Amino acid sequence: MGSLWPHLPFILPQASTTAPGYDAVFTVLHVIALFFTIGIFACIAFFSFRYRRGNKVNRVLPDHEGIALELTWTIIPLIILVSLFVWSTSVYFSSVRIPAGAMEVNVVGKQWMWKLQQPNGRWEMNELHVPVGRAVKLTMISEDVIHSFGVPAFRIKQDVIPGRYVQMWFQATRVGRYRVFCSQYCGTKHAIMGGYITVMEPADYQRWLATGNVSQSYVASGEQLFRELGCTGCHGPNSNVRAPSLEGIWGKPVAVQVPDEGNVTKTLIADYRYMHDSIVLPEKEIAAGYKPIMPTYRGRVTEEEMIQLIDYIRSLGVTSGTSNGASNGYVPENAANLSPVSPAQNANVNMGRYPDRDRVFQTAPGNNKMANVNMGRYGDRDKTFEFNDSGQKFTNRTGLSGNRSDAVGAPLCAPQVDAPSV
Amino acid sequence: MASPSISNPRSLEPTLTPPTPGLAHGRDVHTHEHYLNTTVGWKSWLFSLDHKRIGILYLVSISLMFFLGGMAASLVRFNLLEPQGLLGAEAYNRSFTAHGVIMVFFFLIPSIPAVQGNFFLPLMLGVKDVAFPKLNLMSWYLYMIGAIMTIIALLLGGIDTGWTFYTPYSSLYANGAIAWVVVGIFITGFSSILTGLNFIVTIHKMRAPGLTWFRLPLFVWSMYATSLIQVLGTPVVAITLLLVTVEKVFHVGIFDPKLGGDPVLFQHFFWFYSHPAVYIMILPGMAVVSEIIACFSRKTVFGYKFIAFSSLAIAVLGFLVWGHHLFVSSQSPYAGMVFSVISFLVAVPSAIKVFNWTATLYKGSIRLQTPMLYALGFIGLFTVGGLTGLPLASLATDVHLHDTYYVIAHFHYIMVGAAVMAYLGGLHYWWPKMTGRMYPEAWGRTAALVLFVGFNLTFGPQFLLGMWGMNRRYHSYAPEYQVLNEMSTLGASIQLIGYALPLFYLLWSLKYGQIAGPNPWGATGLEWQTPSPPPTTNFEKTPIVTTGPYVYSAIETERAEEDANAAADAARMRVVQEEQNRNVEPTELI
Repeated sequence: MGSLWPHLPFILPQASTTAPGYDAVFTVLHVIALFFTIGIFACIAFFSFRYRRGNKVNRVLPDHEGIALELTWTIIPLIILVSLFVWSTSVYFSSVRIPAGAMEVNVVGKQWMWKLQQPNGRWEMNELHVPVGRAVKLTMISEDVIHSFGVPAFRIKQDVIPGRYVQMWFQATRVGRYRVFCSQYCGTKHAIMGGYITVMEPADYQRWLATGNVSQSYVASGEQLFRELGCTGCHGPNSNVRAPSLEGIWGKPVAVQVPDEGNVTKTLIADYRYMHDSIVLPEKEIAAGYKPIMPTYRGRVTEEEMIQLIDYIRSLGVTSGTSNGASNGYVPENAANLSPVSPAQNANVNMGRYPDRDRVFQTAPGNNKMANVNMGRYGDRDKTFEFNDSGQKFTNRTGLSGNRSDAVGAPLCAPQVDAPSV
Repeated sequence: MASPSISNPRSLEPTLTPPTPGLAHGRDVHTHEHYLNTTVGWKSWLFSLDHKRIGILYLVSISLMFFLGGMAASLVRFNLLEPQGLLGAEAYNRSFTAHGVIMVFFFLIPSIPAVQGNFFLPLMLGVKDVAFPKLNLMSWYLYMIGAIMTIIALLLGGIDTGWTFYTPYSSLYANGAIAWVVVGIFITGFSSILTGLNFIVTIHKMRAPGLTWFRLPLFVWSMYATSLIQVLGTPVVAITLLLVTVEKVFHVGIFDPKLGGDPVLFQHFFWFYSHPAVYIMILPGMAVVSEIIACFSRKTVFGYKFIAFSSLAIAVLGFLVWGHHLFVSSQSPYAGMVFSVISFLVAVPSAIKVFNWTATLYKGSIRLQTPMLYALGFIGLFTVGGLTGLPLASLATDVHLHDTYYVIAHFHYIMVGAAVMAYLGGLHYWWPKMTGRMYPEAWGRTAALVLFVGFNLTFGPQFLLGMWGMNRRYHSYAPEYQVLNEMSTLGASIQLIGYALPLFYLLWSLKYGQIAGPNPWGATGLEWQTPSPPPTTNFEKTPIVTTGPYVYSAIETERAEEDANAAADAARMRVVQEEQNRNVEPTELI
């Protein structure tokens, strides 16, 4: 289809579902601005001419002080401004939520390029191919400084920050090729950091997807990294180092101790931020009941590898393990301090079947808050867990196996086209 | 707009005080002792505690910085003539950083408060000096240390962080003499704090007898609001810069994600100061414009109290809107919503001011002399700048416009179109008081018009560039943006003429300008009730104030001028008739 950018870009194409709403706000704001600008300029010009020095006109001022006038030009702008705010904010909020089932694309920004990877592992530099009419979710992080992923034709923009995942979505409505810019100053070649998004017909997109440089999916690469970096040595099922198992912690509450805040125990959700920090800043939040022995991987893992690792850990999230590793039969040494629930109870609890998403699980009388935290809420309503007799091995229908006697050899997980979103 | 009165000598004449004909080139008129001739020699300047001399010291130093920053801006505009960039990325990035740092921290923030505030605030209050003259001198030295450090950094090759110094780029990735600039800004910040402190105390404690709060000129009100921001806001940027240093030296994770810090936190801290800093730049401009509009339309400012309190409202609300710089920085949408609504609300006091100034013109007796041209230009450009702020305060539209040329155009309309115009307007308005001599009026008007045209040609097209998606801080750009960029550069060249002209004719007027007399504009206000230039102690004896600030009457001015013109015509007729009677040829007297 070629470039949609004519030599003079008099009007940007409206190529996403967000664009029309934003453009409407933009137009109305400018009509109002134009009205007041012309009004003020006209008043200045008219008064300067009519009441110019020496012109014989009536200069007798009205007797009152003009409070009514003051109130008029205070209240009318106030009403206009507040209504504009309400309208513009509602337009924004109607498009800020990421729709469920959006196609997931990972974006890594680095000086001065974008790397974008499709759900099936196909990656591109400074190029992104997406099907028209499908919501696309971008999960973005930066390797170095702050960048910003902006697509003028879609009216979207989001700063991409080191050390934090940010998300943005769009749904293209017109087939074509659209410019991507880096909008946040990021150093010498900031101006050339950019690329294109190619919006294709779904059938063309499928054909395109089947060709080209498909690399491993993030989950598969992450699994490889998990072994290569030695994570399995401590976090693997057969390890005799006391470290929490990572199975099933994704999206669940975990108890951590924060040394910076005087070793208070806090409950966090195991999300991207928590995982990321645990890899590069292991001493920041320590899984409750464990010693702070994990070395930092700062500088040893790139942000892209970080995403792969986390996606791998995330893919283990379909099990019902807990953050303190109790499902693997390991009991932290000060477990008694944390929870009055015995290991056996604990295991039982974890192994149970929890079809009711909204139910906060109560284990036993006298169970304290900590135990609740560890037991968590079991949100995976649609996943069925099966348990074998030992109560420690399980599989589920997505094909992931929790029974890993051999940490290296057995296929840990099949590459997934759609990583389970939590 | 070359009104016929340019050629009419009457328009240059004072209206309420008698002209001083025939003494235009005489040095002998400067017989009274004033702040310029009491002592001489460089020491008498560098160690002066006189607020007027310190104001002049500031005037000279910020003018130098202005032209340095202007040179950097010229490089920026030159580079953007061609899509691929004529200077290359490195040089371009260093140019726009130098431009931003110098113009913001070393010109705009000190400009009106440090020059016109220092010089005229004590005069307007009817007192001898500011509350703490030694602190006042110290503030100038701090400013100079900061400025010299920045110049050293430029000589060492400059920096390429942008004036916003976003981490982690500025702290970990950028090269160049960043430490020099950061420490320079840190030190200059204290100069700003000291000036603000001085003004607040002076306004509270040192007003002339009878000068109640609601008899203060609006200039003083705005300067008060500005000083509040300087004292409350500037420490935050100082603390932020300290934290960057602490992080670098002691490896405490504050802004650096690798140490567990949050780079976005820096942006919060930075804009907590730097957004109110925009009001440090614009409130003094509003201050000057209120004075000029009243004087040159011969009317009391309409809605005095509304203008006074809207200044304070802007100062307070201005502290609560910084988050609108972070709408796309991963700030929570709900936080964004709060910042958005407060940003919309700041437009209300700004609108009140614009409407009141415009209403002041109604039924006035308007004279379009240079200061008035600047003031009217200010109102118009401030209106454009303010209204184009709304799409940036709105969450929906800011996403698209963020970090584009739309933002550049918007804030230049405020910071140049409004603030610099007001500064130049004030400079012309008070020039006769500061120097005792008039600037050449025709040149003044020419420069004001050239600037207005050049300014709009420079920044008008940038709104369009931004709407169409051209990002800021790009040394090269897509070819479709070239036409608009060329227009912008052409406008910048015209502006250059507009800035260079006053430099020449104001310097020229120091020696050859017409003698001004104490009150060439027939203005009210205490500063006009003392000789020009003012004596070192400002007033022969402490003035006693019995009226409000703007006791102008358009009707009486018109009547007085009519009478004066009639008398002059009559006198001229007499001369002509006498000459005819004597049967002599007409002389050059007419």
